[in-house]
Amino acid sequence: MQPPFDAIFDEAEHRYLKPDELQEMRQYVFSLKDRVSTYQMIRDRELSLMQQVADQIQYTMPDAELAALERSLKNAMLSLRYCSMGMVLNDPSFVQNRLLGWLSDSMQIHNSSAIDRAVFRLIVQQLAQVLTSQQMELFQPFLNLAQAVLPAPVEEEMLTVAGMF
Amino acid sequence: MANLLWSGATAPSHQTLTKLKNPKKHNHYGFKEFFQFDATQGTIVDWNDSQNILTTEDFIIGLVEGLEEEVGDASAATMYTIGCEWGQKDAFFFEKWFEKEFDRGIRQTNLLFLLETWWWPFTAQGWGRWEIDLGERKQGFMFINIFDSAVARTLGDVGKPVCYLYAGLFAGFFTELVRKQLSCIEIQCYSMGETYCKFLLGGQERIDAASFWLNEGATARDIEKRLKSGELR
Amino acid sequence: MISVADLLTNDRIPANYYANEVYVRGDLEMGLLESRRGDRLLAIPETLIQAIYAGLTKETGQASRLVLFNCGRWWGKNFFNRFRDEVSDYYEMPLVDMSMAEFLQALKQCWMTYGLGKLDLDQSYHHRGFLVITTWNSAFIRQAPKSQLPAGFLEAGILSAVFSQLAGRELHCVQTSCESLGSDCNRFVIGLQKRLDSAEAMVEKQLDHESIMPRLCA
Repeated sequence: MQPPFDAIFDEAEHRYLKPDELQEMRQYVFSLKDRVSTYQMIRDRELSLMQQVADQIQYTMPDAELAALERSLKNAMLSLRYCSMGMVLNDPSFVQNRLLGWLSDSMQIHNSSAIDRAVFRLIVQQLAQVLTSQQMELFQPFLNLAQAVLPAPVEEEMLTVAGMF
Repeated sequence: MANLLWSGATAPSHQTLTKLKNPKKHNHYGFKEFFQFDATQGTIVDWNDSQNILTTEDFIIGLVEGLEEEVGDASAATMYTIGCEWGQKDAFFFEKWFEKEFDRGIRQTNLLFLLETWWWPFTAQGWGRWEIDLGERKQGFMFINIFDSAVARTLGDVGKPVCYLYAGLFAGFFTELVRKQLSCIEIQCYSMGETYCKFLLGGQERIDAASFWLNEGATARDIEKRLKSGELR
Repeated sequence: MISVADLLTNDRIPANYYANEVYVRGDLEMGLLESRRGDRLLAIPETLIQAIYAGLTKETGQASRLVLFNCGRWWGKNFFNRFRDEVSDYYEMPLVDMSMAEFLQALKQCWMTYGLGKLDLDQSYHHRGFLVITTWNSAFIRQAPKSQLPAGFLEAGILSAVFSQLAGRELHCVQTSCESLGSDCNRFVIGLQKRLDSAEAMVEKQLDHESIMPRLCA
């Protein structure tokens, strides 16, 4: 449940909800049908969608280590699952608390940002094909949370004196 | 509690949305509200801004074992002393947060309500439920029951009372609260095969008498009866 | 070719076993806290930590450091056993088969969820037979009485036990920098007791970590 709602419910003993709070709740309830159907769509397509991503990443990064690719794909699948759940609940803190710390730690430990970025890019492309733009609008903010913890790409090229100017 | 000794980064404080919006919410002892985990810093702060760490029961055993290695049989007395220090420090801490939360002094508050309020954080922190019997307080003593003592549950059935930490906690807290030197002894313990632990709180004279009877093999019920009839050895 | 279906373990992707929202459960009615495996947990507040220092100093004087170290060792031994069981059950893989990176990630998360602060491993002295663990935000160090020496005795005990169990041989641990003395973090050097004796002497002489390590490795 969206965290501000928790605080709203806490005040039940003090007062009734204000119109804007009721409106906020109505909006959430109204959006719930779409959230659930988006969730179902991602759930049902998870394997085929991720298999496409896996095939493409192997094609675009033929030199990458298999174990590294598999790890990035697993992390991406995990992100998809957590972000979908976060979207149903409309609760960014769900993704924040349960996924992001662990995910960024994993990416740093394994120094996998190049692959992770590529995988996420592919996921967004795949999602755009299976979700409607309205569904994408619901899901994107949560996926963005996970993408935001991808470490910045490291400058691959070694800077030398010759390359200074 | 503010720490005056440590000069490093500021101590963490509890800043959940619920508390920011409703700082005087009283029913905040549910696990998710009472504790705030900071997953980036690895800290846990409770509703009253005290930093907490989680341990398993091995921490208590470790403390007792570590003490036994250093001071032998005196480990029980040391656990009691630690408890007393805890109770005393917690009395000051409690006074501050109680006044902040309820806008009134602890001495202007109904005693039973005050004591219930004091124990709530301990319940949330996993130290077990309590029951307090103030019936005999006019005679200068009272009983406290603890269900699921962290110490006794951990040490198991060893045939003698083991909850010195709790006994010290009650002695230290109530001594500060009533500003009179009080002692506490556990007269029935889960570790003796009982279903809960029972503590007697009172002046040294009574505690000495209870300790003597206990050594003679008296049960908690015997001790209660003798104290109520005004006996002192 | 990678088969995505094969990456799943019973349709599951094991991730953070120690996510605090899932790992710790509270039962207010019973006054109990427990882990997701059902082991009882206790929250130790600042007042108790302060009391442990005060009580130990009163009753055992200087020996309080040793008591805390031994307490940490005892706790650490059991902490490791639980950690090993939890992690190997969850990942469906014995701890010994896990990579160092995976082990470390799980340990870091576990350390944080127990509220012990942040933890990291510095392997730069690995080839010389020492591991350096860095930690931040320790409640035990924050509450320690003021001293000229590092204050993380409990942590030193825990870490020595954890890495002894992991290595399968007796290892010691000496703290060489401390947040309570103004350092950026707490550093704990882990190695064989006889090789760490000189480190202990250097800490007593108040040498800092950067001065101790080269001498220790010389």
